[in-house]
Amino acid sequence: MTDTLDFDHALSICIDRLRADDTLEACLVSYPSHVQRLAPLLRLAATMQVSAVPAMSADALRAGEARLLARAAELRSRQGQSLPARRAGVSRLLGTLPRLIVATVALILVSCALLSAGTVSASSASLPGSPLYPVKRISESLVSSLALTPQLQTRVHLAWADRRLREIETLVARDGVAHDTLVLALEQETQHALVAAEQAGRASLASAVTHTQHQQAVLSRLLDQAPQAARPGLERALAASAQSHARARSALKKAEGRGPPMTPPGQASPGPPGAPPGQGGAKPAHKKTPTMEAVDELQIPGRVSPPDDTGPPDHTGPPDDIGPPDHAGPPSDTGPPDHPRPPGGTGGPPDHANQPDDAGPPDDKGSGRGGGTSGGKEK
Amino acid sequence: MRHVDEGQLIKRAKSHDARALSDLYRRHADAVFRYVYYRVGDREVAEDLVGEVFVRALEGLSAYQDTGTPFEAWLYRIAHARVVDYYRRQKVRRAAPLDESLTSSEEPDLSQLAAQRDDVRRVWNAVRHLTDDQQQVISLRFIAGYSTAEVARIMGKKEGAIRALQHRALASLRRLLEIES
Repeated sequence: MTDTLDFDHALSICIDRLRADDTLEACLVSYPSHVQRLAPLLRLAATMQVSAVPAMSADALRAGEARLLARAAELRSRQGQSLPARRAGVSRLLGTLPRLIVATVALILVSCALLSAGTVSASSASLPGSPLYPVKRISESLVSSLALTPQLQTRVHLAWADRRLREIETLVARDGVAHDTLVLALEQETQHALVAAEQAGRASLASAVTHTQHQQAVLSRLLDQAPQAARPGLERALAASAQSHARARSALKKAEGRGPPMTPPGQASPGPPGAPPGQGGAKPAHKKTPTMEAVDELQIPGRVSPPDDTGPPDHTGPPDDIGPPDHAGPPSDTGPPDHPRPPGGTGGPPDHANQPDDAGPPDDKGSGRGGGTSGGKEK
Repeated sequence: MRHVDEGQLIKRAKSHDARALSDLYRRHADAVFRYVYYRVGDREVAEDLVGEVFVRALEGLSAYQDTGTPFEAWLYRIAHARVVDYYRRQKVRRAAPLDESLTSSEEPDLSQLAAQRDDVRRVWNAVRHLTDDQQQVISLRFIAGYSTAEVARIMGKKEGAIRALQHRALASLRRLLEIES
């Protein structure tokens, strides 16, 4: 007989029955001895079951996703950097290779790799679906792994992002679709570049700003002409690019706020005292770095080619025209990346998010296993 | 089927695969949002906390093991910790009323429906005066729709304790609403 169940159990069953569209009256009939106590609580429970389901706004949804992907890119980048860190450790132990030489070697390696990537142009022009496309992506991964400094990493990942953009452009024109994998790869490469640029400094950040601006111009243009099937992917790519652009601009603004003034275009600067080599030092005058203001001037809707080599490769040029990077970046920039917020970094005690599942609920005051207020202890 | 697919996604997400992370995020973001939103009562705060929940999940994903408890339940646990931390940072538990999105609707303006929505809003505002454990049980039962057995697994308590918590939570709510009215 169901009526022999204790009150808590009966209440629980009735709540489940209400959720399954049973009526309150039918539940009460099943537990006549509990009717007096059950009725008001079940009425309350029924009110709570009324579905008023708010949803996240589309903007917040995208922002959260971008934040997640940015963090993932950061973590990947940190994993990737453990290798150069070990290399640096070995070189320190040996005491034979100054860091400058390490950087020079890295530059040569990357240049060679990029050069060979250029000569294997049969694969570099390939598109997803082509048998040569995996070769292209593998060669990119190889080059990425050889980029040891944040400056190089920025350049390399921006170049790959630009490739993905061109591939999207080509496939939208040819097949009328924007492949999800390409859209994600574009986001991913841009995020990699941003993470590296944030470590590299203003020049790389300015480059990231220009590239993401360019991405938006190209994607907006594509979106205007794209068939319906391609629009969701393009809209997503555009939104992600806008987020990346905002992040790059904000980081550049901060970097400009705390750093020495930028070298005016076309004018070499001796660099500030103690500045790491390669950053504001005796740099060739043609390597001008746009400030935020200069970047703003570049924001011309529909602009295709950036005015200098800090911008993305010209879309009217040959495909995959990435040249070897012109500087390896200062060896001092191979240091550890900015430390991201540690888990639990909001000031509270660590929660269980970083512990094995089922290690117990978060150990917060008044809640969780072992917390002050457990089910059996409450008044 | 969904569980199997999700297992694959989680496996890929552990190596920070962007596609897998995106898929997991899109599957669960709304559910986590609802859970957080009803606890904090502020849309913007809830949206921000959802972002935080998924970043924390990513950071702890390498330690995640599929023990049969839904992945979403693991996210709820992280969400619960974020909500508690949010209130701790606020120093005092403010009982901000749920914002208008809960009561506004594009449906026809029927007075009965409006009254019903108002009741819902009152009840959920009162939920935030319960203890953390009671709030968690109510959220997991009524927002996430878990059974008492599932809630017990998520909270690491016995099923009987969950039923007792649920009873006390509803009784407290009733008293709170009586006082209010």
